[in-house]
Amino acid sequence: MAVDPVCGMYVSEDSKIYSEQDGTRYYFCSQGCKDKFDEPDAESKNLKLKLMVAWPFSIAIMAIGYLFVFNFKNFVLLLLVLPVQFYAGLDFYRGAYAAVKNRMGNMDLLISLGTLTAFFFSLVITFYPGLFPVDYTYFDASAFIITLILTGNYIENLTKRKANSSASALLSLIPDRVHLLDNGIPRDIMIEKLVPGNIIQVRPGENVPADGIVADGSSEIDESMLTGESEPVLKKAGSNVTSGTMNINGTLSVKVTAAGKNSTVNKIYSLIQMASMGRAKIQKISDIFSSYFVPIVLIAATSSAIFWYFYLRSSGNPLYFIISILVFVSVVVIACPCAIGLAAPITLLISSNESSRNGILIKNSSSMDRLSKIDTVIFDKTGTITDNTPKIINFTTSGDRKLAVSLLYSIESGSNHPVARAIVEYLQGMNPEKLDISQYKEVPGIGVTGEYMGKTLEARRSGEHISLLIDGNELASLNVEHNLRSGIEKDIKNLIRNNIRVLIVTGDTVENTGRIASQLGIEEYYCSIKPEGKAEIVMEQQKKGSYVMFVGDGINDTVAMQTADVGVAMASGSDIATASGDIILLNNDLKNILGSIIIGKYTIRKIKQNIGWAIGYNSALIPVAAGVLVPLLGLGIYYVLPIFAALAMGLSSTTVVLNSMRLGKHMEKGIMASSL
Amino acid sequence: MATDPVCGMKGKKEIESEYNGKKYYFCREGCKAEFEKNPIKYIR
Repeated sequence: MAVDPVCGMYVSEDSKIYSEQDGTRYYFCSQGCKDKFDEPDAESKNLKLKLMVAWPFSIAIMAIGYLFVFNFKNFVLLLLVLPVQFYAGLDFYRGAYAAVKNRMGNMDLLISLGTLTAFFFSLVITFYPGLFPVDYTYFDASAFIITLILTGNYIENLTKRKANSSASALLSLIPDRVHLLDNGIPRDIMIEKLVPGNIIQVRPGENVPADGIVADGSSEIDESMLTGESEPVLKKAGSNVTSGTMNINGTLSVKVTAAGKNSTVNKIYSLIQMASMGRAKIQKISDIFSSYFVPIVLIAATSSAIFWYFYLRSSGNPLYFIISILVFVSVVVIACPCAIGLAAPITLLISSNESSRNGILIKNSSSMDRLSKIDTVIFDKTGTITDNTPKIINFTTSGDRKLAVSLLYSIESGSNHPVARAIVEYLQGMNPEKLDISQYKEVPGIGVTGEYMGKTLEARRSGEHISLLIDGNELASLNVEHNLRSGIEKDIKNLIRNNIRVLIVTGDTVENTGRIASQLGIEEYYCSIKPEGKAEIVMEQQKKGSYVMFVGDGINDTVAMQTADVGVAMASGSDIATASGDIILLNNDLKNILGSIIIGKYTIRKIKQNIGWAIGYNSALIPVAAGVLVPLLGLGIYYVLPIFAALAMGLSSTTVVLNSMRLGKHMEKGIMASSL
Repeated sequence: MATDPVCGMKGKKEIESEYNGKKYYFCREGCKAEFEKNPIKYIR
């Protein structure tokens, strides 16, 4: 079973309504949902156009129906209702048809049943006056059902777009046109035409349109939109540049490595969007509810209509047939499966948008339940609580210094590890030669190995010490020095103050770890631990009943991060989209650790609220539509109930969206309150 | 309805795993493998 990414309903994978993006197939419950997914902007335009037709005609029908009496009035009303019924309401019938074809129930089916019943019933009254004891029609009900529900959809669409603004802002970082270098001569082309391997020119003040490697030129690049880091970074030939970052002061020639959907910015955008696809555990209750919803509503509508038919007939009321029709229409229209379906996905989407605004990228929103329960945070040390870029000290070589420098440079350039990157940068100043290393392999927690001219080459990391060995003989050695990240003391204190246990688990020596732990006021730490050992420690804590978050650099700690209830990776640049982990901290700001736990708690609370509201709404109003208030208010309520039902239904899913929109403010307040 | 404890979707009867004497069902093999790496993560 697939999940409709727009409304959150279950959809059979046999469904013909699907869309493919980045090689993944998404299934939809209705054509409307597919259109919303494919082209959210077109959806809004389409709704606006339909509302411009629906409102004037509906108001005219209502006014003429209640204020004027003349011959052939019902025929005039029929002419006026046609554009509303069959133009504005067309998408509902399409959705209903698809649902019936797939043997599924959806909102469109209920709305179509309601409005078409009112329409055809009125049609019979128009053409066969005298068949029923009334001569007025219910075209106003059928028109208003469509108009009000479309209005609700429109408001929902606008609100959702606003909720999605931080994700959309990311896409706006990519320019429409790029300067392609054709034999060195710039020629402007549309961004869609760009393919890997193209060389493009990026001028000062322009955003980098795709991921790539600088082929020529040098410039400072502002990466703050992706990393939060305000300091510009100098890029020169050989440096990686990431899409969406801004070129400040030099002209660069960039060889494109990933463009369009594969670029970092697009991947981050997709990640934020896909948050709504995650299934929080709490959704189980709404899933059960929505899987039986449509059949139950149809049974409720039919049985209450039958009840009123026989009850009124036996008590001699001549309106028995009309009332039973209105009961049916009211029940199917008031029921709102969408509010239940939307309760979690919209909250997850808003939560992921708000989080990304704060530099927290939620890759796996299914982890939200676990995130809300985190009571233990395990930090990796290097590159996590200490600075990502270590300082290189005590670099010594034995024998041929030039060869040692070149070999270390060449073998470490293959690694993404922060220490390897620091070494490469350090050695660059010594004009190293890039040598051909074969059989390259990275062993997490140990270092990198390879072969050079048939000899085994190893760059071993042991705590803060790195040595380069060729066939076991040391050629070079160095030490790295890590400084604590700025502000980390406060971040750790805040976690402890919020009753979260903090542990350090590292491959480093007991001296280094102990020193840092006591500096930070952390009492529990494990040192000299290999990557697999980190995962075992995580599991031990889980067996004791703790909900564990593991915070690492996203490269060496993959297993521990996957084992933990929530894995958090610190990443920047093009690593963002590929780093493992449930959450990625974009700006390496550890205050976001507590921030993300609070986001989890607020998101789950909001989902619970929404589900409660949606189930409450349906449980309370379906009986009202079925007539429980008739003993109190009389049968007269059915003159307005179908329209009231459409109004309530139109507003119900909007209410869910609006309630979720408040999440951003709540989260901000919560984060402020829990921080020093 | 047996829910896949990893992804929250509907589980299939033929893809099952046992932990602590209780059976769990999954929507695909990938979820089952993920579950078996560390069941405790998904059943609390």
